[in-house]
Amino acid sequence: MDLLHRMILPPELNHLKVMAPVTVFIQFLFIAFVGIALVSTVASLACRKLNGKLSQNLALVIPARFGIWLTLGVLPLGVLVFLVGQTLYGTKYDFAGALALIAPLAVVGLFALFAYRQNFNLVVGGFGVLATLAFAMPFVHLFDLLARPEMWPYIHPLVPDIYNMQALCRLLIFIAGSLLVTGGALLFIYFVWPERKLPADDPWLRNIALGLTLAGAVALPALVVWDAAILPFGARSTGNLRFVFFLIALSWAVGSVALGMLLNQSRRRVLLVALLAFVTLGGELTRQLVVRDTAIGDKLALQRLDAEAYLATLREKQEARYAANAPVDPAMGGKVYAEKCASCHAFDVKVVGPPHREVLPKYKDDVKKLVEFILNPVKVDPAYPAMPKLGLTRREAQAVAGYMFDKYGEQRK
Amino acid sequence: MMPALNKKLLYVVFTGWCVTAAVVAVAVGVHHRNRQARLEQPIHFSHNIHVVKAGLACAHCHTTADKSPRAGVPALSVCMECHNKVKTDSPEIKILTEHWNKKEPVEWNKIHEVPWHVRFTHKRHIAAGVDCAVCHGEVKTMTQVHQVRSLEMGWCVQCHRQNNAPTDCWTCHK
Repeated sequence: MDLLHRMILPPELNHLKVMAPVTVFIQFLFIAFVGIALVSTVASLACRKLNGKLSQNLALVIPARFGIWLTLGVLPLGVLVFLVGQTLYGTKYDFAGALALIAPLAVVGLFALFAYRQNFNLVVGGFGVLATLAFAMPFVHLFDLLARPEMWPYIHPLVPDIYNMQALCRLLIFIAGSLLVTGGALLFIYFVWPERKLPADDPWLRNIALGLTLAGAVALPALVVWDAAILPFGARSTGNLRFVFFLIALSWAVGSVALGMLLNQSRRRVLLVALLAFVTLGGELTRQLVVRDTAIGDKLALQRLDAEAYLATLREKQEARYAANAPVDPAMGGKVYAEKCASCHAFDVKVVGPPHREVLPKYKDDVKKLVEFILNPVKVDPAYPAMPKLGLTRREAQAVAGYMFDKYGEQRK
Repeated sequence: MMPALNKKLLYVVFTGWCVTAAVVAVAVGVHHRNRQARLEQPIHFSHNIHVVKAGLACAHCHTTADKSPRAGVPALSVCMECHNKVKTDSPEIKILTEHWNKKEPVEWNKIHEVPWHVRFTHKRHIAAGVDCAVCHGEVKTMTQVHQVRSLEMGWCVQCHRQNNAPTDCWTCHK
């Protein structure tokens, strides 16, 4: 875990912007793959008694090739751990650690599902399904928790309580999405993809694929509306609602086409159903990103501020080095004074802050002290409100201090 | 093959299901918007500008947080300490000045509210070192304040347990 944390670096603003779509893309690969592996195995197990060949074909929608399982199952999960860790760098709850902790469960589950495609053993397949589901529950909940920063300080233990409405809703959305894409994948692989196209059309396989897609399309609209209704305040947005409508429309489109094909035993529009199914899953994951973005916008803003503060200190150091050697421009002091100081201070009278006539003598022998005060003001006199930090550079502060002493000196004469 | 009528019926049922989902989504949107409307304040005060940009501490305006049960919404005079000179041309400050001239307080909407049977006190929480953001969220980055914690009993008790604070009923309910 410590090694993981050492490998995660603080992100910059541009970095954060790029990471959002990359996260959705990787999530899309991973969730689609795990969903297809899971649902196709369940379908295959259910059809074992009915028809052996059909059962094998259902499972082999993802071929038993180790490279495919590694590239689409294990690698994206590893990448997700880093992406999540980096996006949430410095936040209280260790999401990357939690993901890394449940990742072995996914690897074991996916390995069992992979093994099932070689020996078609009931126990291996069943174990794979259970292990993958056991991983999916905390996984979807962790991604749901990303949109609930108010919960972060209170999540305990590392993998949190998964028995709540939000987690259940997200798990059902994951299952509905998996049904959709499994149907889509079966249609695409066996009816479109030239290398693996079935020599003779198998109506059973086609009907099962269409049925899975239709089930997903029926469930998804209700589930996304439910999810939108129970979102916490900070995560609600018009963008999310737009995505909800978009997803309902997409589900209606894919469901209608699948229903038509089922009722008429048609073979047309197979590619359309497959495409729409995958687009719907992508849309749902993007919606979840919108929700997250709305909810943790505050946190990201803070991160940006931290990065800006860090850059400002670097700039200040540079300025200080430069200021030590360069003569202070006398005109700059007057200009900055007029812009930043004159709204609250005057030489003789109290405005918002005290008159300079009263406070400047304190700094007479120590201009540096005045420069420090201008850079980092603190409340001194209870009779006045605290002076805010003005965000001046050290050079500007020096110029202003110089200008004030010049002016003060002049007025005293 | 199914009779044509049944086929049509299935289409209608599925379309009806999707339309119902869309209608419920509209209702959810309207409900959320109504909740949002209750957060509107008479003046668009931004904590972000005052805390992050101007560098003021929470206690600068909420002066009674560490002394009394209430954190206290600052009096108009506190605002006017600075705003009799600062940003006087802003339309929001003009509203503020109008209130000040008429000697009428600004009626802010209360966002964080616990039920009447809860005796919450800011003083004790501040004394225990609880940061404002634990209960109020990152208000400093908000342009409009909203409630981010549930402020429900379970939430309070969870924190009390974790920090070994008393969990007797009469700690909060008198």
